[in-house]
Amino acid sequence: MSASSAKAGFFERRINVRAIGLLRLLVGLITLVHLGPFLEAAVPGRYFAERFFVPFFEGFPVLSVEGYRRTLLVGVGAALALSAGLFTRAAAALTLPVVSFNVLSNQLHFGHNRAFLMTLLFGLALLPSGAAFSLDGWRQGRRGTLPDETAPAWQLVLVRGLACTPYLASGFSKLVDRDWWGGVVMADRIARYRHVAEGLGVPPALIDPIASHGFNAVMWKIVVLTELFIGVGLWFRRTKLTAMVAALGFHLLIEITSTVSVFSFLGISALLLWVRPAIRERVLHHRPADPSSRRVRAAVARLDWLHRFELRPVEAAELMVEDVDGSRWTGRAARRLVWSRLPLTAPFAAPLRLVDVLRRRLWR
Amino acid sequence: MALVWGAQLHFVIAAYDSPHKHFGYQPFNESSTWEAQIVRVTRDGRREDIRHGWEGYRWDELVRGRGLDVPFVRHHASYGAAATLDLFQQALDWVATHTPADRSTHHFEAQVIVVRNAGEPRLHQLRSVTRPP
Repeated sequence: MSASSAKAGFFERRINVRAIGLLRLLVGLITLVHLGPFLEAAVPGRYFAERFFVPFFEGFPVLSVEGYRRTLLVGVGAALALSAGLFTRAAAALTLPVVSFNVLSNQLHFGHNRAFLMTLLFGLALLPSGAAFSLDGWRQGRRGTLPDETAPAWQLVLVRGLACTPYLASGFSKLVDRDWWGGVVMADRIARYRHVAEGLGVPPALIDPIASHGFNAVMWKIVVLTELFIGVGLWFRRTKLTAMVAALGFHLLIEITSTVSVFSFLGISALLLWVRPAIRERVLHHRPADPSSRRVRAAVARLDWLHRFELRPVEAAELMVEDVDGSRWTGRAARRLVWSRLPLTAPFAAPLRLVDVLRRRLWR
Repeated sequence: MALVWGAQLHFVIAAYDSPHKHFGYQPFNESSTWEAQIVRVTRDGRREDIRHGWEGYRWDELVRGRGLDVPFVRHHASYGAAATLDLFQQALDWVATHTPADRSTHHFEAQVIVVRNAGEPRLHQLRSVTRPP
């Protein structure tokens, strides 16, 4: 295939974006959480522009307090519609400018988590995501037409590129910062917040090693390299699961140790961008006669919201899953594969699934 | 695609030259701390601490966010020392130009002590714009 026909094929190829529907639902809710405090302040008339504020651009429009309040209300309505998948394209196209306007109207409103929210909202405005997990899809279904869950592949690749940037940019900036790479920044922070941990009852025997120079000299290098690995590893099939598990751990660690507003929820939700954009690629061979197998089948029937599995009853000896690469998994490993692909159980089962995959790779 | 990714890359690279690092994704970039003393210099040359207010104004009612409302105690510079100093300078200028009932202040001055990443404390002297007569 020539380069030009491959390029044309890439821009014409359509993929399934059912997972983006779930991302849309979550990002809509996160947007509500984000806008909530602004609206809470604006409703009784506390307006940021009545105090010191710094717009991002010279001449940036400053609304009246009533105009600002109405703008936020429009944003809340749009975020609700976005989450529900009601007039999805319009809702996405409206949520992005409202959130952006609010952030850009005052530099004191800026946060990296908000920049990431804007990025994801841009992605949702670009990618059609209204067919699944949506009132639009439900209404279409009632009319007897099958909602189209596909989108051009290039759009997903574009948004994936934007979504991995926070990991790469953050990791690289810390890699080239001598204080960060050397552990000085985090050692200082740990020393400064030691009293908070002590106040929460964390024993000194646990704090002392974490506050030690040796720990900080090594730990934060691992964290920086992990960030960079996530940004790169998500792109490749062989490293994607490891990168996703690393991202889960990374966001969990940040959420526990820092105040980052909605960033952790956004980061974990954004992992849906990396779900394979196809459905029914894995086959679950289940035994109708076996109660345990029936339970797994029932769970998949209820919780396989992203349609990862095709269900096939067989008279085999045990439950078996055929993965996308043709590999076959049986017993507990098959169950872990199943749980790792269901959105509700994936965060817990993905690390166990990773162990299975690495173990098989090592044994080969 | 190239346009959007290029714009993203531009923000990431430009952040290295910007005190605020907006859209550059450099969270937790410093552990730096800062605190400041602010005085108003009156038209007759007196220097008065503004901690407890002046001419009917209070600093913490005029300036909010990022710890700028309570500059008199030590704070973490959450977006880095350079970002804090830049915002603090702008806050001084804003207060100087948005306090019309104050007829006696000529300008504001601040001494900001910044400790960058557990290093040695450094003193920064800031001065607001001159208030209109």
